Formats: sequence, C-alpha cells, structure tokens
Amino acid sequence: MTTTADQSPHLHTPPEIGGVGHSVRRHEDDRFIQGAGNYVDDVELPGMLHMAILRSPVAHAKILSIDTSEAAAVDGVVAVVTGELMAEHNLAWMPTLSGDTQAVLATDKVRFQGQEVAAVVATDPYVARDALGLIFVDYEELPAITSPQQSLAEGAVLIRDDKEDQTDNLAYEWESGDKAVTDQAFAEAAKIVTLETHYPRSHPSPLETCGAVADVNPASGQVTIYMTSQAPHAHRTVFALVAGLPEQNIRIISPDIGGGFGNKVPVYPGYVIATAASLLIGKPVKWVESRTENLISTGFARDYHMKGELALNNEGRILGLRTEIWSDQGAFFADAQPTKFKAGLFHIVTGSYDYPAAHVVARGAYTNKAPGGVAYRCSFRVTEASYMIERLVQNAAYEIGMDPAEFRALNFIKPEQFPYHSPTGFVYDSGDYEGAMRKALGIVDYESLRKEQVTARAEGRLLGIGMASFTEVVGAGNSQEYDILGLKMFDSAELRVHPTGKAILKLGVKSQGQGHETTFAQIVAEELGIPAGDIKVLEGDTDNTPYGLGTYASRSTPVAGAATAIISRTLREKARKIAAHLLEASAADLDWEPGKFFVKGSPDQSVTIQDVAFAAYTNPPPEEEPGLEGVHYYDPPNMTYPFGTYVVVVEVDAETGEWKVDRMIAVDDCGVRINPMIVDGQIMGGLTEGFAAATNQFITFDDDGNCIGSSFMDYLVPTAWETPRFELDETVTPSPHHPIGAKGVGESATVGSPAAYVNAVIDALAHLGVRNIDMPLLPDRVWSAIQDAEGG
Amino acid sequence: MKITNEFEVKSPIDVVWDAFQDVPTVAECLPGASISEDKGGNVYAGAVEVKLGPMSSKFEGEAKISPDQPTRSGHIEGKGVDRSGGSRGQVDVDYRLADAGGSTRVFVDADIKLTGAIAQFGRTGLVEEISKRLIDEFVYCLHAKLAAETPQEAAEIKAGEVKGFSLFLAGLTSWIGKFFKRLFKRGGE
Repeated sequence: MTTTADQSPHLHTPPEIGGVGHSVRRHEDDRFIQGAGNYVDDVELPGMLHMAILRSPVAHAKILSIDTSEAAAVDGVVAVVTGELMAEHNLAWMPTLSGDTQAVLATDKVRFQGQEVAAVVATDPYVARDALGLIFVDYEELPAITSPQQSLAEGAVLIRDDKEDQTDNLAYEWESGDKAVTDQAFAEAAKIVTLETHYPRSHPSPLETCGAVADVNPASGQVTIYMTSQAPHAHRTVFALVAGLPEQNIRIISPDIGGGFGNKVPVYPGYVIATAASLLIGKPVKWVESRTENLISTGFARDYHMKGELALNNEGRILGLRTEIWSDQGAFFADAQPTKFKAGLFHIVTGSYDYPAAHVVARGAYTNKAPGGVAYRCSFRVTEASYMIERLVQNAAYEIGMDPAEFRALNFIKPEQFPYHSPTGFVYDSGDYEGAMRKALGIVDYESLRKEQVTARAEGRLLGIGMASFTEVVGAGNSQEYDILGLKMFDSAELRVHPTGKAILKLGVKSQGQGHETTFAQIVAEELGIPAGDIKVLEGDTDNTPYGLGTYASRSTPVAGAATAIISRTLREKARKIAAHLLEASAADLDWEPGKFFVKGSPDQSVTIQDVAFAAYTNPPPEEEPGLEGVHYYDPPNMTYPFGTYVVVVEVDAETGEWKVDRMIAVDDCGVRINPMIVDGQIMGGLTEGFAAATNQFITFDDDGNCIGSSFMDYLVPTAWETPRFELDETVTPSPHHPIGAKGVGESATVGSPAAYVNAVIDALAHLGVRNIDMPLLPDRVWSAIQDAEGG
Repeated sequence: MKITNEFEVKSPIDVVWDAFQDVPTVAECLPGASISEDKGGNVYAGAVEVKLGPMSSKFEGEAKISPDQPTRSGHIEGKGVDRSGGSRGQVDVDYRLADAGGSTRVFVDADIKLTGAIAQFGRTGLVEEISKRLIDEFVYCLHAKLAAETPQEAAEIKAGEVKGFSLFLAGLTSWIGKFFKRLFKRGGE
C-alpha cells in the first residue's frame, strides 16, 4: 500500500474553503494571543472556596498521627480534610486507569515524597496554603526504595502493604512475542549485540499545572467539575464509579488546556478531594497546583531500565530481538494503559525492521517515587521502544563494520511487504522506510559528511552523525484489543449544519494546544465544502459532546478525525438527496464538487451546500427527516504507523564533553497532512522535547527519596536559545484504512528524536569503542565516557 | 549529605573546649540558630532558620550534646521540622579538638539529612555551598568571641546577618567562582 512519496499535497478544495492540505491559520489563536483563553484557574464561581494540599516531605513513612486542630482554628479556614474523613465516605482510595488503587489522602502510610496527606479549604487561597503549616503530622520513617533493582531485591520492604495479595514489590510482569523461536534465532546467530541503558524519569511539565473547580449543588445533586483533563468522558465515568454518583448528574468541563503531553490523563487525588470537599461543604471548591506540586507529584514518564539484544547473521541481517525491561512505576500503578498491555505498546520495539523472532519481558516495580509511566507525548511506551531499537541497530552496525544507514537499509521492512505482520503481533499499515531515510540522507549530504568525519578525526575533532528511522504505533485503537478499564477505545464526532450553512462539530477528544478547532474544521471543509472558518469545534464538555476516550497517544486524528470524515460523508449523502429534491433531479444524476452539487453534464444547474442546509430546515424532501445532523462512533480497524528518519550532526568537545548540534534534519511521514503548518509546529515541538531529553532533562532522587527536580531550576526546559535549528521535510504514505489517509503526528518527533541525538554523540565517539552513555548526555557523562574509553 | 570540615582557632585548646561547652554561646555563632529551652541532661530545644533565595525554613526541634572531656571530642544529635515549608532535618555531628601549639584545630564530621522541599535543590549543589558558608560564619564568630577582651564584648558578638538573599548570593557566588576556576584551570593546561 504505497506510496506517493515526494508529491506535494493534492488539494481538493480552494483556499476559501480550506480543506485538507491548507495551512489554515489556527482559529483558537485569536483568543490565545489576546490573553483571552479560559483555563481552569480562570474559572470563578459565586461563593467559591480555595483548597491547598499538604504533601508528605518524606518518601516512605507510617503516619502515627495527624493533628489538624491549629489549622482548623485559623480565621478563614472552612474545613481540614484528612484521609480519615475521606475514609468515612469510602473515598480514601480510588481505582487508577490501569486497574490498580491509589490513595486519595494517605491514611496508613505515605509512599512517596509529595503524596497527598491532608487538605485545607478556606475562603482565600493564601489562607489555605498558610494553614497547611499548622497541620502536624507525626511520621515514623521507613526505608525509601528508589529503584526497581532495590524494589525487587530479596527482603525489600513491602511498599504496597495495603493490597491483600501483594507479597512483594512487583506491580506486574508481562511478555510478548515467542520465546522459543527467539531463543532459536539467538542460538543460530553469528553475532549478538547487547545494549543496557536507562531511559531516565522525565516529566511532561505542561505550562499549565493541573487543577479543578468542583461545584456540587446540594439541592439538585448536580456535580460540575471544571478540570484539566485530556479525557473528560473517561474521567466522568471514573468519577461515577469512584464516588458512586449518578453519571447523568456529573458534568466534566475541560476548558482551554495549557498543554497536556500525557500529564493530564490520570485522575489525580486533588480532583477527587476538591469534589468531595464541595460535596461536604455545599460550595464550589477550587484547587490549582503549584509548579513544584506538578513536578513532584503528577504523572512522570519513562524511568525504564532496559536491556536489548540483537541476533545477527554473517551478512548483517537481523535474526531476532530480545528485550528485558525493569520499569519504575512509583508507588501506584496509575498511568493509563490499554488493559491487555501492561507495558503499553512497548512491543513495537521491533521497529522498522524485518525479522521473524522477538521476545519482550517487562516487569513493573513499585518504588517510593511519585506514580509514573504516563505516555509523555507518545503512544504508551513507544518512545522507550523506539529509543531501544534505534540505539541497538546503530551499535549493531558498528559491531559488524557496516555503515549504520546501509545496515538499516538492508534490514528495513520493504514497501511491498505491507500490511506487515510483526513478530509481536502488530499489523503495520503502510510505509516506505528507505524512501524517508534516503531523503533525509540526501538533504544532509551523508556521503560527504562521512568523508568529512574521517578528516575531522585525523585533526582530532569529534564529529558525529546519528540517525533514527523510527516507526510509531498510534491511534488506539480497535475495540478487540484496546480498552481502558473496559471502555473501548473508539471515538466520536457529532456534526450539525445550521440553516445558514454554518456548522458545529462536537468531539469526544480534547485539544490541549494541538489546534483541533482548526484541523477538525478542515476535515469537515474537505468533505462537505463548508469553509473551515464557518465551522465551530466544541470539545471538553461532557454534557454537550459525544462520548470518547480523549486526546493522547496521537489518537485524535486517527480516531476522532476518521469519525469526523465519516459523519461529514454521511451528511453529504443526505445533502445529495435534498439537492436532488431542490434540482428536481435524481440523486444518482448529481455530481459533487467541494461546496456544491450539480446535474451531471449541466454545471449551471447546481445548488450550494449552504442552499441545501437552508432547505434541510425550510424545504426538506417529504420522505426525508428534517435537519442536517448526525453522530458517528468510529471503531478503528487497525492502528496507524507514522514513521520517518531523523539525522543529527554533532560536534563533541573532547576536552569538556560538551556537544553541539550542527544540523538536525527531520523527514516525517504521517500520511496525509491536514494542516501542514500545524504538522510542522507539532514536529518542531517534539524535536525540542527530544533535544531536552538527550541533553539535560531528568528527574532524579537521592537515597532518601527526595525528588531532585522540583522546580525549573533543576528540571530544565530548553528555550529558543539552546534549541538547534530544525530542517523539516516529508514523504507521504497514506494510511490505507483511514478515511482521509492520515496517521497522526503529535508525537512522532518526541518518539523518534532522542535516539537520533544520542546516536550522533555515540557516533562521534564510536571509533574509541564507546557504545553507550545514558541520557541525558551531560558533559560530565560524555567526558567520562571518553576518558574510560581512552583509559581502557 | 556528609560534610567534613577542619579549621583552626587561635586560642589554646582548653579555652576552645570551654567555649564549646557553653551551648548558648555556640548557638549565637550559628547564623539563624536560637535556643528556647535548656531541657537538662544536655538536651536543648531551639530552632534554626535558613533562608534560601525565596524559600524560608525554620526548623524547630531538639539537640542533644554529648561531650567527652578526656578525648576533647563530642557528638551532637539534632533534629527539626519545618512545618510551614514542609521540610525535615536531621544532623549528626562528631567533633574533635587537637592542640596545635597554642592554637586549636577543630575537626568536624557532619552528616546532614534533609527531606522535603529544602532537599529538592539538586544539581546546583547550593545546599552544600550554604552549609559550608554557615560553618565559615561560625568559625569567624567564634574567633571574634574568643579574641574579645571582656566578657561583655564577647557577649555582644553574634553571627553576622547571613540570612536572606545574601546567603543565597554567597552560595551562588562561591559556586560560580568554582565554575570559573575550573574553566581557567582547563584553559591554562
């Protein structure tokens, strides 16, 4: 199913309609650039109270007592909420999106630094925060466990003693692929290449922290919760289940969201406490995290200790892959995962390469760290998987003395092999991996660079060329395989065309800055010919949008985008009948061009979509239902598989270990591009996040479980000053099963780029024998690697 | 976090030893420290206030001092809780005095365990820098006290106003200074 690589997008609509392929300016930016967005912290309700949360200063301790009397006596304090009070309402614990339980407010023990211990509700946010200092908690400290190795060692202190059947710190063990076949491949291998590396703990750190305004009306029982949610419908159902509230009385509103990146997928204790407080007090309660609270207590990502092995034959063909993962999950297994896949979609680790055998074993360990493992701008662990395989193939090339690009070309899945069945059970939809790689290598002039590298080495300069030819699996997903807590991972679109030909599109997904209000309008424009600017897109209000599982895992375009295209087509078919009625012709005799129907062979006998919309309400055909609206729930037949090749050129300073990016080329293939400008923006953002991970971003813990990285002084977010210039290009291989051929692009660059940066530095040092430096590649780590290699 | 320090006081060992037994005097020389109660049995209740840039912590707690006269050494165990800032601190100090020909050398091994907000400043090493600055200030003050000509003069000498932004800046300056030293050393090689 290939390929239209290298062709500029074929536009079906003129710019005034602005369908697929037009770089329409983002509608939402009108309010954002004027400071007129409406975020959770902007919500003000009459009589609203403010809540602040007391968090544990220690990583692991028994709670001996909590004395709230002084705090409760402060003028302005309305209530102090503890775990004991929550327990009276059966709300001290809640289920997580991955089927575990999590403490809402600690009753027995605290299990990580930053865990929620008590909350103060007051008339003023500063009073609430100050009163936290008057709550006295007596802790009896326990040993802090800060790595999976410690956690799974014999005799380790049991972290989850709250769980009846839990006798050790293992959160899960999961495997994929065929062990016997893989072991056989390794037995026959001429060479085995091994890589052990740690993908460090990172944080999505969205600009807007998490928060909620809970408004429980004691008279009507109506619960309205404004919250920073990437998945408002799923959250509503969780609230109904946790609190035992009737679901029709719960309305979740996600207003404008200032970045999510997976951080706003989990249900956090703060949301639940604010809601419980509003329920108990009968007034609206607002809770908004500080930056530090966001960084130390909400959804971390990665923290994967990985071992990967590739079996090779003498010709450099890959025979099989073996990987073993130790995942640091933190104190609660709280990230969202499709139920069947405990390690997310890590089994995409076979990557862009064709070989028959693979086996993946993953173990999740509880530790005394904040609950982690959220899909930070990726589809459930695809980032870790892509990093592993792209680092491994680069090292494999060195070990057998092949050029890394030619090694990849030899092993790539070929265009004619699609749909491709991977050894871990995926069915790749379409791709031309070598096409994307050759394009990227052409842009960077790879052959000349390799020659330059030889010259540079002779002069004592360390020049490195790294690449990653990644494949993602996004758009979860088909209902046979993908669900979260049993909720199937479909999504939905509801479209209503108004009498004047304008329209409103309502979606179950939720933008956090991705530009949904523009791109989804463009899909309708493409299919119905209504100008994109005439279409309002509504999301994030569960009373007013159809049910959906939300925006993460690059699923909005693959799933909700498909639903939008299909409902638009359905309405176009109804419009055709109305047009036939207006033109007094047979529907079969009408032709469509974007925006109008005309009688075959008589272009002057036509009606516009706007004429049709008006007639739907004023002059509908007698046999048709009036109006022009409908809803579609889309259950995707398969995932989509965006891919691309990133090439990074670096120079490493051997004296200091510092390195700088000379060039960064990104060739992405995300299928059909709906709005090329927005796609480019998504890619640049992701490349920047990959750069952050590779250069300096990580959150560590000391031996006592103190989280180092609680502010932007320690957790570094790159600015335009540090970020290299990116050179973007594309190939276009449509997804064969998606109605408009789109694959999703929000996460490709975060997934693919870390390995490209790291491979570039490793490539600069490869002749010294360096094969691994753990991220982030801080100058001291690079310097030490050079010293060790030269010394050894 | 382990901190090892060694300094010299230009007074005879017996004078320094006696000064060390006078806990309120010692406290006066520790920036931000105060004693609120002598609980007997060498146990004192008090507080240590530290400001780190925008963050202010007041650790309230107790310290137990166990001197060993024959060996001119001692052990101090302290622990405190900063409730408003959500930090906790625990310190174990071993100190030893040695005669250095009319002067006294003081050896200090401190093991400081901080948890909570104050322990979350990681990479920059600011907490270590500030601990060292605190010891420098302590030594400076102790010198001054011991060099005072009258007891009244000695009583008036207290640790400098090392609170607030100045302490933060001192830590930062020292840290940046080291960075440049490293840089120049490298350049000169």
